[in-house]
Amino acid sequence: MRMTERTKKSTRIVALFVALLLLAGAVAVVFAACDDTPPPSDAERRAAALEELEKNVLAAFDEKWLPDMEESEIVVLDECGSYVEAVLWTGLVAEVLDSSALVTSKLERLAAFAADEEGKALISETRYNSDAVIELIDAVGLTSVDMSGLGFGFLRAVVEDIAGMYSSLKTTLEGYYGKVVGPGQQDMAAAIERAERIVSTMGDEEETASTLAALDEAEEDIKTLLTFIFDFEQILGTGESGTGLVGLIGSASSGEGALAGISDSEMQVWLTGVLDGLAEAGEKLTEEKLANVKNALLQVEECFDGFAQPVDAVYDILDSFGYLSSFVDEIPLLIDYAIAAFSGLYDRGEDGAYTYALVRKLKALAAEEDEDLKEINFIVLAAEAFSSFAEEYSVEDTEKELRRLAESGDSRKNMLLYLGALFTKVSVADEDVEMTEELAAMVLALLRELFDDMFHTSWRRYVLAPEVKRNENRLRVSAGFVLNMAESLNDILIENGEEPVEVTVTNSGPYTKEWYDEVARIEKESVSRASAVTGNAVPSSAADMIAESLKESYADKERINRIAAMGYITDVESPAVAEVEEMLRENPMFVLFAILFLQN
Amino acid sequence: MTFALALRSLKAKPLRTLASVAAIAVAVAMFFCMFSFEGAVYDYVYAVETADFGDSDIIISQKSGGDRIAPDDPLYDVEGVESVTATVSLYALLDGEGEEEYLRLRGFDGGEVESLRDIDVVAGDISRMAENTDCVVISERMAERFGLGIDDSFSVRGMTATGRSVHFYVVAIAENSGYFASDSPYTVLGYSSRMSSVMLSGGTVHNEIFVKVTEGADISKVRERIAAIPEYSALTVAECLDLGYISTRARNLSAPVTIAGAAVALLCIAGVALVFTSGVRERRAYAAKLALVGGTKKRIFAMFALESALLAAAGAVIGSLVAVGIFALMLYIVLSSAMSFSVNAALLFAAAVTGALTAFAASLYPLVRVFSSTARENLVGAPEKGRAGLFATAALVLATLVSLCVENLLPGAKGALSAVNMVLVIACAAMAAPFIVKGFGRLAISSRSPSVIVAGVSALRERRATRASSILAVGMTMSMLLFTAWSLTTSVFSDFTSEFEDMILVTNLSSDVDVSELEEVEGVRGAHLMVWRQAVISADGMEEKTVNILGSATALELVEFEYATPREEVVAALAEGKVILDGSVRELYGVDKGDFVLLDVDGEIRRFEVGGIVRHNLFNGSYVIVSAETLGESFGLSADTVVLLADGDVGDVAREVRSRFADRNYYALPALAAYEWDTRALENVFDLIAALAFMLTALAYAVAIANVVVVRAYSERTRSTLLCAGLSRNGLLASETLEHAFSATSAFLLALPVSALATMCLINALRMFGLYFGFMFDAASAVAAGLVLSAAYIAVPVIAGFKRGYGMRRN
Repeated sequence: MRMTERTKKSTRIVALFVALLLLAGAVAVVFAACDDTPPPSDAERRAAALEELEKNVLAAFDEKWLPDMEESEIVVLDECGSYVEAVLWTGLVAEVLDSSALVTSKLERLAAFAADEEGKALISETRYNSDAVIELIDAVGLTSVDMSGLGFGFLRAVVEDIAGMYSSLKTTLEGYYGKVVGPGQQDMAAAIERAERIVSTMGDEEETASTLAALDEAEEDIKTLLTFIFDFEQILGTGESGTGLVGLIGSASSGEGALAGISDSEMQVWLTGVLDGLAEAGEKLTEEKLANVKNALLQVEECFDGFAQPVDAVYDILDSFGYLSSFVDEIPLLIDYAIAAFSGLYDRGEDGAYTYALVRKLKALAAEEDEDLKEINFIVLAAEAFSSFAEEYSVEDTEKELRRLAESGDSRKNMLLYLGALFTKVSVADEDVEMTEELAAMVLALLRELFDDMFHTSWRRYVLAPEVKRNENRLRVSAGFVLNMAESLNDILIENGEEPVEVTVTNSGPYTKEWYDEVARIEKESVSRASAVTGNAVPSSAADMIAESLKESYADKERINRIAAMGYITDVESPAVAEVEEMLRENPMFVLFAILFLQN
Repeated sequence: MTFALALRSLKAKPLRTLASVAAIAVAVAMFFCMFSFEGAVYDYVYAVETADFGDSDIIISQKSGGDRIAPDDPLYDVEGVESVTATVSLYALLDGEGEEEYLRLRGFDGGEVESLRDIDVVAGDISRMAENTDCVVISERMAERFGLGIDDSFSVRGMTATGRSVHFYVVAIAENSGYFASDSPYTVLGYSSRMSSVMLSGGTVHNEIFVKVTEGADISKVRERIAAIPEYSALTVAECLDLGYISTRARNLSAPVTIAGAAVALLCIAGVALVFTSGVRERRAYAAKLALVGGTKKRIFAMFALESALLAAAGAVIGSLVAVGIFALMLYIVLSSAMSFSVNAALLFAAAVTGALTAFAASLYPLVRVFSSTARENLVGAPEKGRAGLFATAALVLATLVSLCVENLLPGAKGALSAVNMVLVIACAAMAAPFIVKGFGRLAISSRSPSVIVAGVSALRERRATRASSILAVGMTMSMLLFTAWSLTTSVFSDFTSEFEDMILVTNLSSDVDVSELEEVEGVRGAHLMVWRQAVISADGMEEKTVNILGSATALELVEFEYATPREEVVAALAEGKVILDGSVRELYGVDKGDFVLLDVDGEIRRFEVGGIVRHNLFNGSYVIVSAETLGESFGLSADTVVLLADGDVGDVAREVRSRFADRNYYALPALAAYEWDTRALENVFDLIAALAFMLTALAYAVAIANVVVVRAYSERTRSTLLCAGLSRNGLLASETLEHAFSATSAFLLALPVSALATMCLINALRMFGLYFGFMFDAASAVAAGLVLSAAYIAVPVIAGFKRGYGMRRN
């Protein structure tokens, strides 16, 4: 069939149309497929994650709070002062996170966690206590490596920036003050005053710089220590099924958890693994490292002496560092002691196999529901721990350590010795406690330490909330004790022909930074002059008392060993119970030992 | 001169030359695949089975009813121990939306993930493992599945009551090899401390410890020393490598392919012979002409031989070149994995030589006719006289029948003889088909229709119809055979998997688990606590064979066994501490009720009496049923698995089990998922057989067409003559079509029964690989394959447009 011209023309038109349609489609496909938009870089993702985190954290404190709010929006907030302060803190935290080694995905996860209900609740809590911080870390699942890095970073940032932060806060708030309307005005005024007070309690720049230098020098050592602390906290756990030592032992008995129905040999394997891990971690904490850490932490404590740390959680953490600075050098010894106490795990029978005696006791104890039996068997377990400990460490060894503690001059260590000594005296049931001069001195020292601590805590609370009458009362009482102690000391000094401690203030105030510095000076000088008077006498007495009690326990080793070898007691009326109780009565140090190492 | 003539002869018939070279090349490639396949599959299975432990010699792992975690300290003082790698291995569920997915977490101390074997990284940097304890390495496959890249994170939940989530960060992505060879479930490598935290916080545990023995030390003695240490009395101490098990698995996968490959190779060789046979007249004429111009028999033979040699050589070279590609393709199809393999040059050479020599011999066969006739006969092309062909066919048929009788009646004759018989029955079909064609021819010449008469005469006089029937008989038979084999294996497999599809395996539980708690889960209709592991069985007249232990008397309720021994006797025998074997063991090795077998479990060997025989295709018959009590008394084994029988969706039921017992760290998986690698590999094997069946059918068709093309050239004068004599073009077309029909029908009529016999021989031949199946013949698939091939061949004259080429030509 021949095509007419007209048909040919029509065909060409149709073909052209189809071709154009196809071409248009192809072009559209090419444009759609060739998406030139590159994926966001890691830096961009990181910035976005931190921005999101800041936003979610602020929202956790108050739904209306957003980062980078305009001045006009801030001034109409009910708690505009708190808002500005919160922004500064979240900014600090964001900076610490940004400069940390945390990978960007972790920051994104943190930001996402902060957006959900659980996260918000925890974040809101962190203002008030450090436990919430630990819970937050656990919930997000950061590792000990993360924690050590963040912990150090945060500590350093607080040391470096807090002074500047609150100075800047004061300036900012003053700038807003005139523009605030409504109920926010009151909050703003209070916030400005608070900031002024906080700023007034800050130390000098030189001190800050020297603290930073010490921190930088001890950075790796502090991180090692933080890793150890975090891991140890994980091991001990909280008691929930599957979490840590306590949880494991508890759940094993109840037939739950990952190692439900755990056998004796499995428990043995796990516990020896824990001890090996502990020993390995302890080996990393060398004398040199610990000395660096101690020095750095002491400087931090000095740097913040008198500073009214505005956030409770931060205060708690810094306070903990303070205690850590006192006892950090004892960690290797404590690890050795713990390993020695649990060396019963390695007991073997004649056939060369493990006896699992200690493991069985632990399991049975965890499963025990009768409180009396629980207590009795706990003592039996403590007897076993002491028995093992005494195999490794003779009474002379422990005496030597006690004396070393007494000679350290560390006030917190001294307090521990005093507590131990007093305990050995008061827990001996059949004897009346004779209040000797040494005991009196110890009691006094303890009271002084208590009131000194109360004085510093009260000062902080007063600075943060002077309008609360209770804060003022406590400050006055605790300052009064400090000053009275100084006056009492002065009587002794004058009697000895020495210059008294200069007391230039009273406990009535006015409660300024200068007043605080003065009271703190008096306190320090009193302690120092009192130590000069007594020398090491009081700590040494305490050490001797504890050593004496220990000697008695060592002398009673035969009975203690016999009790240690007892199986699990299942009858409160059995003769074994009487023997245990008698041993307990005559070995108070033993009880203290048990409390220190076994109770959780 | 001789060379020049040979070359000229090859160039003169390019189509035949090409067809021959192609056929030889395919034959060489298939021979290479046959020779190499089992070795390559063995290497792959070896890589998968050793994925976990690299070159370690001994593994210490949890024991059912024993301990789940193991100490490593005592190992360092054992004589003969070179190195110790303590790891933790556990399963966890991936956090995320959608269906739950199990992951396998493997933790190494200090994140030293390359302690057991090297890792081939495709993205990221493995040294970054030192950055943090939550860094991990995953496989490419897993990365693709979940869309994970470097520095991406994912979290898992362990099977604890707290449902504690643990987060990981990807620092490296590895090839799907080494640790990730099977990767089912997906494997994640990281720090043992982090992995342990999935189960419990604080502290690191190990539940798989790998020991490398010093060179020259006796592995079994070191194993015994370790097993004697009190700390390991409640743990399993076993040698890592079970070569018997690896061999069994490799054989199961490669046997069907090896035999199918052999069938394709033989068909190719037959095709070569037939291609040369189809041109025998022309060769005879050529030989006569050469003789007339002074060529001696010797020189003429040398020329033809050289021609064949050149074809064989060319085919061998090309075949060698394509062999590797075809081999890789087959491996990829079967194993579904990009695996690296090495080409064994010796095997390639052997395949090339085998293919070449076989093709050379086949191509020379038609020359027998050339040199057995006079020059005049060769020139004139006088038809064969005499009944030599009939006698030869009859003799072959008789010999085949005798051989078949020997195979099936004589005990122990099955195996290699079956393979030979398979070839013989097909040869019988090839030789008998021409006679049926001639029978059709005789019937046709008495017709009134000119087309029919012409077709009949052609069938009687011309070689092309008879030759085509032989080609089709061989091709159709083998095609039917392969399609039947495909149907047979898939139906066996389907029966096997259908028995498994309602089963859930629950492991990682204690031997004193209360199964009634599991039975209370919705959807569970039965729970059987049993020992589920492997052992090595041996007996008189039986080589060592790795089998799966179904360690419970209630295993009889798991599947529908056929009872060669009455069920009551079987139950009683189990109670008496006897073992029950599959009927295949009796068929293959003659081990029967009352005989004694040795069971080797982790190096402990015990003797048991066979209490009965049952039959099922479970694990291809590689199983033994023993009561749990007997295993406990004899080997100290405790039940370690609960097999649940579920109604409805087993996936849902498994999820319910996991959820209900989340605090007990049970690992619950549908049985088909647990054996996913095996089932997937077997399915792929069957797909490969199907592919080979289609390929062979196409090949048979191609050879038949090639024959048609070659011979039609010589029959052009005859067609012209017929047209000149008044036969219409349609009539001629009808005649040719009918001629094709005679060939196809003859082939079909023979191929169907012969393929049934060949199937029987194939099933018997699988015994050489330790496989036993009962006889099954899927007539429907055979008929379908035959009909398709027949119809396609009959339609050739129409499809190829023969009519267009009809014309009355002067010369």
